[in-house]
Amino acid sequence: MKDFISSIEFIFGCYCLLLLIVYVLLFRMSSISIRKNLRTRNSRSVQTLMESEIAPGVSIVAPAYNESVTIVNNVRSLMTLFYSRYEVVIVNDGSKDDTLEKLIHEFDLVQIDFLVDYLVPCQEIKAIYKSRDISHKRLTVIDKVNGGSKADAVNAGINVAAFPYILNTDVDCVLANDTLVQLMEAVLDSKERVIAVGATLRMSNSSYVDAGMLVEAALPKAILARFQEMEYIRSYLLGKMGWNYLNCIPNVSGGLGLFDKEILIAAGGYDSHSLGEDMEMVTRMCMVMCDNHQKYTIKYIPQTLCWTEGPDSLKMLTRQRIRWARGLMQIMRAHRKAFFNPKYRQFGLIVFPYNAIFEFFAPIMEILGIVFYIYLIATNGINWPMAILLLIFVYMFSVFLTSFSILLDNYVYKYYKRRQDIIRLCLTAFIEPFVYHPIIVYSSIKGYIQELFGKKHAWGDMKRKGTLSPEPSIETKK
Amino acid sequence: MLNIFNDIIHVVRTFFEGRGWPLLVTVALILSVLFWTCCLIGIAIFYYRDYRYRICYSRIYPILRDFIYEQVLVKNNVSHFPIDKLGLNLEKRLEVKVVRDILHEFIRTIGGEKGRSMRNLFNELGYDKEAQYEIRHAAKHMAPIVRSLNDLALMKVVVQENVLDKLLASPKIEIRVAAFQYLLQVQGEQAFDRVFSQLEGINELHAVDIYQTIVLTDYFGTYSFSQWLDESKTFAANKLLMDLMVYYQELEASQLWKLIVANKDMNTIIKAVNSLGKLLARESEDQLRDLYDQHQSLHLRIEILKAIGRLGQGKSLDFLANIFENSELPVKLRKHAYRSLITQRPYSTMYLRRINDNTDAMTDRLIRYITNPMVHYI
Repeated sequence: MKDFISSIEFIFGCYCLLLLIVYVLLFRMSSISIRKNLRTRNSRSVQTLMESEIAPGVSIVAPAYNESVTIVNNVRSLMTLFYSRYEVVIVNDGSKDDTLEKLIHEFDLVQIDFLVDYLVPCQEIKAIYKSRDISHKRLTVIDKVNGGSKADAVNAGINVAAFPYILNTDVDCVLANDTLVQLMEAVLDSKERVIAVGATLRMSNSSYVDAGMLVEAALPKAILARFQEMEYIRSYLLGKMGWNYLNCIPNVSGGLGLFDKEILIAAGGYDSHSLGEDMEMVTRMCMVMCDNHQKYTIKYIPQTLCWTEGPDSLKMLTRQRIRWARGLMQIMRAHRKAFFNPKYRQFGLIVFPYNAIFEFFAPIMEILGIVFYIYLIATNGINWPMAILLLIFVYMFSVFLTSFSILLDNYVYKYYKRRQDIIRLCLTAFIEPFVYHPIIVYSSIKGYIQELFGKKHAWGDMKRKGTLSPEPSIETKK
Repeated sequence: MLNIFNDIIHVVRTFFEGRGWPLLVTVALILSVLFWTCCLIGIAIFYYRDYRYRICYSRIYPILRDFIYEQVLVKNNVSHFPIDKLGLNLEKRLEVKVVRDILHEFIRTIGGEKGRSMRNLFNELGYDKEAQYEIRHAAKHMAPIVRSLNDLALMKVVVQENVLDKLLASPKIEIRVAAFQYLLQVQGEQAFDRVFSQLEGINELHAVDIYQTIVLTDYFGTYSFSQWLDESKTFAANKLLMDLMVYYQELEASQLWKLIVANKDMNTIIKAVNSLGKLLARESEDQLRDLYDQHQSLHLRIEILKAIGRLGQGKSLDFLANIFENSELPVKLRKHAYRSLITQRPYSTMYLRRINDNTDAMTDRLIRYITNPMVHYI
């Protein structure tokens, strides 16, 4: 029995030590990556690419489902991005409200005859609308039969898109004006083929948004949204920017991602049955490139280019995280052949194993660890001074990593102008491990169990707050 | 050797069997606290720096704005600005940075003669000396050198040849590209040979930078960009030259065909075909049709169809009509074949009428889509 307990201790010890090493490496790699990005950023003017007539074209694909409250302002915001060659493709995914009617009325749309080549699978496209107003010539609205998932709607947009790059975003996301310039700079500033580029996302919950444009960023007031804000900052700036250094980015977020259309189509488009469609798509794109023996790069940039409304109720948050956990499990199962497969190069040897061991198994290991801890306490087999010391270290290390992400965020750009926002964010790092983290672990385990027993997933509706943005600070008003 | 190794293992084992683990964890804990404190200090410093910048900006902006309105826009002063009136302390690094940023904003928005006066003001505020110093002494830091070169180009200040040579030989491509841009802005056409002979290592983003620099200068001449086309060069370098050929309408079809025949890089071939169309290389139409049959790449075929459409000579009407009428071909290819037929009017009028008369419902929808004036991108 003693040997058995020692073996379990050894397994947990190795797992934690490996995770610690990975985090220390990410800490170093993300710093290098961000410094390199800022050096390039500071050495050139955004205007050059913005004004250039030879810049590659981009099709923005934004699915909309029951977005009546915000649709007009958000489409206007997409139409005013700074870039010379782009189109906006809005996909009305069978909305039950008056989303389509509002678009038709506001942008003077008329139905046109069309023939679509269904290069990637999607539900039937019922109609395509174009604007009679020449100032809205960039806009195309697709009306399609509801496919039950965002993936299906994006696929419809890909089939209609005309340009070689696709920017996949949600219609309720608020994009920075120079989003396309910054993402395309990352594509062009590379010797290898860039198949996808992502950027940092964060919460718009308490920010001041006027007519689909972000006027002033503010830390979310609701504690759940604030936790998510902190999690996003850590995940993007520490995680993804760290992996960016090794060209090992596991996922480009569905909220904002620029993709090479040719590879997107070659990989078969988004899988409408997947619950983690963005990560699944990137996984297949990487595998297609490796199968064809082609070199590729996936890039991330540290600047926040997209502001999205995050779930601010516990029910919505757990539902979202259950979906993510199920999506991860589906990917692990569907693409298991990539696990430590040298054919898939860095994807098979680093990205996939890391996702399997430290993302997929992490909640399971945590639950098992707690059970083991309880057992040791019950059998009086615990070394209390050492256990407490370890707990304090793990806690402090987690607070340090979060604080470091906030430091990186301030290094990239000072999004929060108010001092109290930064102080509150730093303080949130102290309570996150006790309040927010257990919710995430619980949701993940629940997601795995649901997936294991094949329970049908309900997407649920998230109510948009629309124009209920808070007032800007006095400084912004001035 | 083996003994030493055994000794080390013994020491490590005794360390961890004794008080080793607690000691290690304590050290890790202390380090975590230390790093966390450093993070907090870092956040505070960043916040304070940003706060100071914003305060300084809000103080200087109205002063400088009023000064520019009065001296440059109203009084039409060209040089010898009364900068003492500004009351700025340009020995403070922060003020120097803020004034530079504000002036850049104005220079970007004010063009023509007034823009020249703005650049003189920039010069008279002493930024030329600072920039000259930076390019000589900030050898290891890319950002200040690039920024200084941009400032010097803006002020049209001449840099010594030996300094420029050093920058052009820099291992950092960003510095080399900044030096190219400086040369192009200050010397214009005279710098072309020097720049185009050193394009190795540039990527597409640098190509865009160089292209924009050239097209925004006053140059309009007959320089032969095509002489630098070479199959051994990267796609980015060749693309830059072809874009310039198109912009300045330098029709040199033989050079482009050399590139098409000798190159294995599909992107370069596609770009060359695109350039042939935009340059209206009329004698290339037969060769383009031959090229269509030689390659299976959809992108290349589309580009060939577009090029034929641009040439608009009415020599490939059967070829285009056959492609459009072949319903087994990808829709995208058929769309471009039809659009090219439209651009060949009046030669293609008969063909278009024949197609319209013998069309089925699906093809009719396709035609209506392509010909719809509201559809700009197909």
